[in-house]
Amino acid sequence: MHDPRLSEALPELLREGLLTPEQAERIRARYQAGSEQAGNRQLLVFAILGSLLVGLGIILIIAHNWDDLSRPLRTLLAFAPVLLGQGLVWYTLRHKPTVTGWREGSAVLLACGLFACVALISQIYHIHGELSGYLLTCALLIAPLLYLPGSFVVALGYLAVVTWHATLVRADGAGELPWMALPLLAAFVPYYVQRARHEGGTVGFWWLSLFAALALGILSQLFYQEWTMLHILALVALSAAYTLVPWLAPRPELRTWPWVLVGGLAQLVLFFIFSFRPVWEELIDEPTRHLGGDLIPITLLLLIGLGAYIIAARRRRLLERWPYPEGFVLVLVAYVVGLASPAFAAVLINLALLALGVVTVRHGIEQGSLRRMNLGLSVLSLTILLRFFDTDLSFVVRGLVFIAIGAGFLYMNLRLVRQRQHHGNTR
Amino acid sequence: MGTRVKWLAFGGMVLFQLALPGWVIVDHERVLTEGEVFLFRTEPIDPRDPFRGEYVTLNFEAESGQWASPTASTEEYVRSSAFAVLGTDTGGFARIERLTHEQPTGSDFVEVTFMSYGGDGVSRVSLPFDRFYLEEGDGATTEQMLQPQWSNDTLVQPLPAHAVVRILKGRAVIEDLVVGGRSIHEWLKDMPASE
Repeated sequence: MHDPRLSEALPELLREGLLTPEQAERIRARYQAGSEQAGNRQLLVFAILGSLLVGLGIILIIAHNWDDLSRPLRTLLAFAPVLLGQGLVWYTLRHKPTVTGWREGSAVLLACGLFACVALISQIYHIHGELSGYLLTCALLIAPLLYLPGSFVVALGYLAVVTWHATLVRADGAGELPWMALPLLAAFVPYYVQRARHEGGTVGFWWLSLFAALALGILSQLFYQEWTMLHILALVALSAAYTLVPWLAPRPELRTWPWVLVGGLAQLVLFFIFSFRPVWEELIDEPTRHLGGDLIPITLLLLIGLGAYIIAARRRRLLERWPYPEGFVLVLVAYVVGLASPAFAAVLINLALLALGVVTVRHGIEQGSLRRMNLGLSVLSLTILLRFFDTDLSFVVRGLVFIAIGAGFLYMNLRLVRQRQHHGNTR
Repeated sequence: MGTRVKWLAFGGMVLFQLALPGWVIVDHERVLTEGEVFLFRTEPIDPRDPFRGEYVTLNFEAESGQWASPTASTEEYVRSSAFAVLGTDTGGFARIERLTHEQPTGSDFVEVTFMSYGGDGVSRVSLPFDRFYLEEGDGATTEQMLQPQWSNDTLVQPLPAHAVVRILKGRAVIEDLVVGGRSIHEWLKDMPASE
């Protein structure tokens, strides 16, 4: 923030004796630093955007495949963008190791150069191989850039490429498991910890957390051969662990919210799916005899959920802030119940959804948060509306329920807005 | 990170990023210069890859046949790999003589993959080369050229096509795609590229 009025006001305040010269100088320095920071940020965005565009441009030009050029010339050309990128990374490490714009820009350009280089070699030698293999090679080549010079944009791209590779391997249909994704993901972990230590409160870390949560969540589901109720239980365990991350983080100012967002959303979607009785009936009947290798990832995810809950319990009260961690226990109970009576398990999930809605509405009202209250109301309404698919009700009854839910929304929102105005809090 | 360690790590990264693609190039160049030539009869179709551009997928005649299963395993619906020993038919085109689990001692073999459906032998394999990259716009032209065309109510069969493949100790690199006795690159030079 740079306020031009400040430079006019400071001499005046000095003259009037309200500020000492040292204080005035410190205020000036503080706001000047702010404006410099804003300038730096703008420069950073342009550096990233610019190098990304140039890099993608190189990839596109190479994808054209220049048949007229001779093989040796094309081979030589393949290395040009890589050498250019390496040169820029070298310059950054030597002369600008602390300038984020240089670090990001040079790393992004080198990463794109490597993608282009591998693509060009594939073209020249007509190298056989699915997209998954290409992505794997590229992920291996760009992995060092997470640490040298240490780039946040490359880290996001790296996670995306690793997840894409693993999904393609799994979708291939030949029953292959994406084992290579595991060491690649492990190579990312020290980078994430390093960022948390140095830039845990920044917007960048927020995005890094979101990508990490999505990548880990997707990867964890790619190591199964079967699909039974036990697998769902493992997924709920992982999502519960996600929503506990704020209590596991060493410092509260770390921006770990995306973990909660992904975990909570996954759990809500699963709960809505399992509020239908036929889903229970179908999945509970799946034979669990052939689980074999699936037992290892299932056990691992269950242990992660359990471990996270035990560790977080030292700092967290029961149902504190959100009830998702307890959702895991509930699904566990419903699973045992479902073995005896699937219908009763579905009823249990419906009751849980209603309770979740009520608790969230209450949290929303207590904290004066319209967003949270409406989330709670949406959970309540959706639970009720979904039941229309199970039952055969007349149009009149359906109409009345719709009107009641709509009126409920309007009333609750109005009430909360009034309450806020009453407290003089119009945020 | 200490300065020495940083520069050592940087040097390591540069070497790795140059050596991996470089090794792929050297490996393929060796096959192209020293490898024996095999001709595989083929019919291409035209897809596209988001990073590597346009190519034609080659569907080889030699990939279909009837071979004894190279393994004693009776597991169903799993992808297996084996070594295919190559020979030539009377027309001079490549064909797979047999599948074996042990790596052959000679040079004329490639590793193939196949789906096994139990003990009944193998009727289809995938050769370790199936893509021929072309300049943007040429993929569709090539596919069109190699498909049957209707002309004045008569179906005109396309010219026969084959891939020239160099093989060295189990490694294979496609050298050229030949249509009606002419390299595809020569054909494409005479034709306008389609969009």
